[in-house]
Amino acid sequence: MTRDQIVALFDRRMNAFNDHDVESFADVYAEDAVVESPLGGTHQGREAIESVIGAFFSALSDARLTQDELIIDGDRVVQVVTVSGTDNGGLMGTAPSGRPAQLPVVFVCHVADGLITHERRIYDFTGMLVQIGVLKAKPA
Amino acid sequence: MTREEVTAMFARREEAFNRKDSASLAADYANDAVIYSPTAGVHQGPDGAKAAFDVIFHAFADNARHTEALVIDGDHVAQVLTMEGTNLGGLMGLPPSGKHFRLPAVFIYDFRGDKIVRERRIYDFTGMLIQIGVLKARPA
Repeated sequence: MTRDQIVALFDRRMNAFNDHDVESFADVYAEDAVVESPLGGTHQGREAIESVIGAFFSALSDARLTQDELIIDGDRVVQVVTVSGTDNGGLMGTAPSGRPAQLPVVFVCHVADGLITHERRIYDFTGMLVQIGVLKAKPA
Repeated sequence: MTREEVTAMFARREEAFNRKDSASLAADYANDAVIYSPTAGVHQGPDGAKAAFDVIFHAFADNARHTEALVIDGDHVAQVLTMEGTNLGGLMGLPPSGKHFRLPAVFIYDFRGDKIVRERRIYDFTGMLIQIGVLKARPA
């Protein structure tokens, strides 16, 4: 893929995320793509990707993503974004806390033939759970 | 820097980190470099970098980093790595817990010539604090 094609692919995914369009979001992944996610675990294929992001949008119905940086090296891409949203739907089976969260998230991706084939998400997952009130943390 | 020079520099830095050589690590930063670290906060320049590395090495005497991938896009580089260590020296004013942490991380770098001018570290910082016993967490 050319650099312009990769930039366009990640723009498409960001727009789909911000529109909460789970189908368009999943469409940027290969049919057998593998995603390693702290929240969704390791999951494979567009149906699973759609399901995990759909659950996230149900929990944080105002979730938004802005791109901070996009680093492209052949078929390897690292995208750093800021994700923000409010837990107004309940995450991981908990009651909605109404609390907001904002944090940087890194997607470490492989791309091929116009699609994401592998993605690993790295971020302060535990901190996000504390921010939205799923976990309570205190000094040990 | 060429790709080969970047790769060689990161190999050298990993060796320096694993032998806790804060002076060698700090020498790679420009005087106006800004480092965004969840553990050490925002700090600047070689002196700030050295002081922060010394705090980390004091807290985790067996601290080690293992680079999994370098994504090189001109002067913009993403390092995907695993970090681990044991809280043998105490962190944030707390006594040592003797607890070990291991987690994935992504560090983003901007270079000017052969110097780092910006570094941003992203990982599950809250999860790390729980692993090493600085924080306790429970379901809310």
